[in-house]
Amino acid sequence: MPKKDSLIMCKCKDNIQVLVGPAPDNEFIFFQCRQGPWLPTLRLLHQYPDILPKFRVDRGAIRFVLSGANIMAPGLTSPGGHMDPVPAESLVGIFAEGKEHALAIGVTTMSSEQIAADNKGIAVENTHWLKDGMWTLRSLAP
Amino acid sequence: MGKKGKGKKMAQEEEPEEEEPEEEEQGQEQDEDGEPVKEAFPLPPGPGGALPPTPPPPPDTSGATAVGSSTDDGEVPTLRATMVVTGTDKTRHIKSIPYCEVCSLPFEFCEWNPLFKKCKDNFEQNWKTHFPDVQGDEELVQLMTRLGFEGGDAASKKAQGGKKPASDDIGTGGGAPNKKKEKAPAEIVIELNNRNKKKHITIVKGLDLHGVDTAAAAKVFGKKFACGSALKKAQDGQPETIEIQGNVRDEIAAVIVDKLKLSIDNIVVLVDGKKIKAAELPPS
Ligand SMILES: [Zn+2]
Repeated sequence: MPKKDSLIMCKCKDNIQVLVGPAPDNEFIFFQCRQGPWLPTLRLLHQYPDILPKFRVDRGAIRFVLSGANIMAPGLTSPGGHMDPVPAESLVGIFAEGKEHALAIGVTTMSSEQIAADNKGIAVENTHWLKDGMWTLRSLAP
Repeated sequence: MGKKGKGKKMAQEEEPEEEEPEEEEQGQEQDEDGEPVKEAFPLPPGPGGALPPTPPPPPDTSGATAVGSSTDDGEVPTLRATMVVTGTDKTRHIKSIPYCEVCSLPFEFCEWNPLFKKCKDNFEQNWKTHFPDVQGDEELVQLMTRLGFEGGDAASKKAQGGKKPASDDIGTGGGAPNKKKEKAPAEIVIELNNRNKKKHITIVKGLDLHGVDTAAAAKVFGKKFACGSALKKAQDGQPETIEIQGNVRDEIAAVIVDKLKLSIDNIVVLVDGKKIKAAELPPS
């Protein structure tokens, strides 16, 4: 367990706060938007893949998720998709068909059951994805 | 800065997380995942493998917070109230994930980089440092297939070319409003915007889908037309575009064909809101 004082809380613009991990990497490990839930960063999720329930999108959806689009229900219910059972407003890791690592983190708009039943509309709001600002910025420069 | 209060909060938040490495290290002696950093979990099979990248461990609902079990800090849930975290007692910890030097993503997502070729070149040079366990050509080919690099040059072309039909299929799903709904290779759309009454900006979309180095292309246009030309990266679901100061709508198709070696059949020009094939554009 690293010393607590080796962690830094950092307030950024747009009401985002990040929790910065220990030196020397000073990588962002959690972030929070306004008073919302704390979210792990994708780098952390890559290292600890099991800390969030998993959703998997089919291959066709990957490029949209990578450009920050919300996850639509059909991408999860098609043969390449998968959902761990979760209620609405759950934090989920977004994985992809044929891929090993998560490519986004989002919050479900409805329960996984509901997503499967409706099979349309936005299922998961994409809050953090590969190549977004949080990913690109990555860490506090030492 | 209210650092004290925050410090406490974040420490709580932190605890469950930082717990993991420890658990993991202890676990390593008993656990089967001692060092097999990459092999410890089932890898998705080769090319079209539809198997779960990581078959979700059966959500063991008993461990409501991922790692709360060994935390003596009972207040953690207040922060996590809105987070539903189901997990197992064994949380995998992967020490280091190989990331591509070119696009910064895990290598398996390189194939979505418009500059895939650069990613691939980089991978071919540096794979040994990232995947030291890979031995021999066969394993390397397997690895490259799994990551979407595939073998040989022909395959890389296929990977680039293959992206287009795929992306178009999806385009009908509503991701790219400016793509026509048809199966032909992705279109390059040229469009004129009024900046104010007199000034114009010519916008070119879709070059990235043809594997063009768009940054270089922006420069080429700037030189050719002796004007400002800037690459606008894809953002918030908007496709990548090149913006050129001034009205070069009627000339640019020729430059794209000439300098970037793309087929004129893929180029359309928006005139008064209608798409016209560049080839059929009336000479001005
Ligand atoms: Zn790459």
